[in-house]
Amino acid sequence: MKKILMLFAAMLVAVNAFAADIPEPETDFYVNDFANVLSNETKTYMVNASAQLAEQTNAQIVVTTILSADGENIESYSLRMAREWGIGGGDENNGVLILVATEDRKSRIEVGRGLEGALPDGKTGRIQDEYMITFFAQGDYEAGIRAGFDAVMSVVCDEYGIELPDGCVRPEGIDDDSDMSVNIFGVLAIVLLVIIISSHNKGGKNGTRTTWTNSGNLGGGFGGSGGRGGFSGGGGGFSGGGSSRGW
Amino acid sequence: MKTGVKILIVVAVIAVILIATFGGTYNSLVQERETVEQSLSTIDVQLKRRADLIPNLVSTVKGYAEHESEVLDSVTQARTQYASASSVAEKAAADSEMSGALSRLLMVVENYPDLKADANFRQLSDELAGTENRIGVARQDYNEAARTYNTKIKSFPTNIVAPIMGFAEVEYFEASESDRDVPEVSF
Repeated sequence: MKKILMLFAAMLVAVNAFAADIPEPETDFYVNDFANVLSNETKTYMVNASAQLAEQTNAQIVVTTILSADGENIESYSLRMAREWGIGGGDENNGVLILVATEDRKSRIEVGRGLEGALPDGKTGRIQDEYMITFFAQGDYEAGIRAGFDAVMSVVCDEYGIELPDGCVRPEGIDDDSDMSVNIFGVLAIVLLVIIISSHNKGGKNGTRTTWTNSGNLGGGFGGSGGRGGFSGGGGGFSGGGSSRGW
Repeated sequence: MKTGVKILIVVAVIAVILIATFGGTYNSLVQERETVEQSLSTIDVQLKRRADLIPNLVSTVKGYAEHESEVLDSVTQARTQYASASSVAEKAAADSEMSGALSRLLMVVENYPDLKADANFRQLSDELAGTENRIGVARQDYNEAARTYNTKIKSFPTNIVAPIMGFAEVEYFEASESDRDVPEVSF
């Protein structure tokens, strides 16, 4: 027994020797500006948007800035952070971590298994290319993080088919992503169709209404706990999906 | 009579202790072996996914860098080797072979700015880097599960009953521990 305990102790020490401790998340959870590069306004905006998203879908988008991963590569650091913090709803594994290490000049979007379909590695790479690293290269972390956050958020909103009062903002220039503009036009077309049909023909109203409520439920059905809800499932939800960039 | 009852009680207590100890042991061993197998199949899924990305990658690179056939061939060869791997050790060897071939390929790509700027290639290399990272994570998760399981079946008193119950030590996935760095894909 003693032997086992000693082995365990040795293993713990070995693990600690390799990797820096992951800090505890801030009480807001969704935005952890350890590198101090964000204004209060941007923080509040992102915290509110993420909280609203989590309320509707259980999906959690967490933004963290650090100075450095202390020599560890950003992939393993961000995976440990995402797992230790248990980002994303318990069984749905629908968490995203946007991590920026300012002194390392590295960023990473870490995607939980439940969102790998909506945010495949190629897309997370493109989001960083198009919205984040050009700002980062100029030292404007706030603008890059906000645009990247909006881009990730809008993809997640589309995935669940929802709109939020203070979220789901499409960053400028997102229309060069053909998938997304098709979606926006598709939604517009449906909205128009619903308006036309419901104002035109009372008989058809029921049918279209049903479709609407259904698509609303798709996103809202999980409902419930905002904040750090679903914490229990944390740990298994991330398998290393996402992509990293340097600048 | 009195001693008979005493013996009975002692036997019963021992039986209860044995059942409690080894019944629980059996269940937890089953559970841990399940975790090990599950982690191994996660590695398999990701290895397969990487193998599936390769033909596409090779044809994209060929479009820009046709005469780099040596590197391209080594990637295709590594893919064939993976297809015939069955044991954990063989898979681990094929994995490191493929990682090596791919990182050589990505190094070559550095000389072709047009290729690096190709949208299709960028997407592919993101998927590839992501898969490579997932393999690394799955490998680590597997080895951790295997270590927990192996430590358990080799520790007293489980080591006495584990072989009887049919629990054998599992291999680690580690042929590539030395060259396990993810191929660097940077733009």
